[in-house]
Amino acid sequence: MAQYHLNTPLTGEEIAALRLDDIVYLSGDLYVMMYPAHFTRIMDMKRRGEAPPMDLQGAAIYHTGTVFRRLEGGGYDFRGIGATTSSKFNEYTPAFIQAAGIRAIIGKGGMDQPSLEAMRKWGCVYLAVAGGCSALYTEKVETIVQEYWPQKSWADNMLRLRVRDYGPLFVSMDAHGGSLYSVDPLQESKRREAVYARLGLPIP
Amino acid sequence: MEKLEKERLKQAVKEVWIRSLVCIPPDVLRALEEARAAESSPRAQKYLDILLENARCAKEKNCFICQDSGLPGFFLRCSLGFPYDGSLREAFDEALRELTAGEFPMRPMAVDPLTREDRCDNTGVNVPVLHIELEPGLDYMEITAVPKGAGSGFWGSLCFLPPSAGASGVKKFVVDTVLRAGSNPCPPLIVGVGIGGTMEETARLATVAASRPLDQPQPRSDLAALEQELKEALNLSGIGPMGAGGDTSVLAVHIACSAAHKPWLPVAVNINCWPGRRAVCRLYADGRIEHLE
Repeated sequence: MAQYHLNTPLTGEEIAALRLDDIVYLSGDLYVMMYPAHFTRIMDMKRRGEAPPMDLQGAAIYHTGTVFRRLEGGGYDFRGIGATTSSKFNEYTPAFIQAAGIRAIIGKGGMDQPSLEAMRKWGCVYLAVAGGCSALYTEKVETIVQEYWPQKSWADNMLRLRVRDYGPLFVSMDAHGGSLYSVDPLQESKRREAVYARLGLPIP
Repeated sequence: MEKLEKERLKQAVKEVWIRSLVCIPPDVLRALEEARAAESSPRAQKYLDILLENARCAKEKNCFICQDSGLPGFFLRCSLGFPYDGSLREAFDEALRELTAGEFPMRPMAVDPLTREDRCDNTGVNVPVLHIELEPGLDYMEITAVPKGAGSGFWGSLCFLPPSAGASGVKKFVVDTVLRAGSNPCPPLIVGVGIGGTMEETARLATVAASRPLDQPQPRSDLAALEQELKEALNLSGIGPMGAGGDTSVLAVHIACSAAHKPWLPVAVNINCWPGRRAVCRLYADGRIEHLE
């Protein structure tokens, strides 16, 4: 298990070198994507042949909610960040990896088999943060570089963050088909069998 | 007796709410430390170390344990004689609104369930959720804050089993609910199980069970045995901290019961993520606020 300090944008070679259980610290820009609309809006623009307002080639996106206040006279008071559940975005992910050219997805809880397959095919990794750990990760955020598509609630905006040594990020799905999550139905049923057996429940 | 001012109640609500977001309950912290000592997977050990470090860091810096401050919910206990006769709804709404607006900025999370209309202040119709229990003789109002994060709250479930399903039916429903949630709700989990009652009571019981302190024993011996059995079984699932594998999938399984209708065996499961966020304070008639561990 190795440790890497990487800068964005990420290259295919850098991503290919990462294996399960490696630890990564990222510096550069992270794109905050918290809601399905962030994915569908970018995909819709690409389908229409329009360029989205952010360059996602080699980018790291982050399934995260943030807490911040805009300061009078500019700048931000940045108060919180942490992963949201990545499985909410399973259905948007394979096509998005291909179309946007992203190289890393940061989140928690892992993603499904089609997402893993897209990561292998297009050279992308899933980097897990420890969930519910805003206090530790917030200090690695330097500032908000840009807010995209302002909504009624500031919490709904897509963001570009500038970070320094953001981590620890755990390589939990790599670009070679490896995953720490039970994307394998057989593995899933073995887990269930162990639990059922302990409780004396009939195993289906 | 002189009436309590709304501003004093709001102050208590604000203080207990912030504490619930910043300080991990000491019993949960101890359970995490014990789990860390017993954990055999190096990866899981690493995750548990980070969770513990985050808990210390949040308390020290008075900042969020988790960025999702959740849908606000409170359990209140007081006597009918408690000297506050204003609107509880107004006091709680204003407290959350003023915190969100700047006193302690939070992500606004409460929206209309269908239109998704957002007041952007962490209030909405019947939110903050308030549960009020009357108890004669109390000379204070006890306020328990239970923030419910999206990641864990999403996986809650309720069903009506036939009585013939018995304890095995309950066990199966509980473990199926937790296995379905898998890596998603930020394990290791505190699993609250409500058994019996009417539908809304079953759900309330599950929530009460999930917020029972981990060092407070289950008074019914048969339920204590069932809690232990479910905990041991779920820790064989291999889900592990953050779903990345390990021995520690749940910190506790807690059960609360009410009587049920004869042809029913209702069961509800409410899942709490690892910080087990909760805070309790007492507001006395003279306006004094006492924070409990």
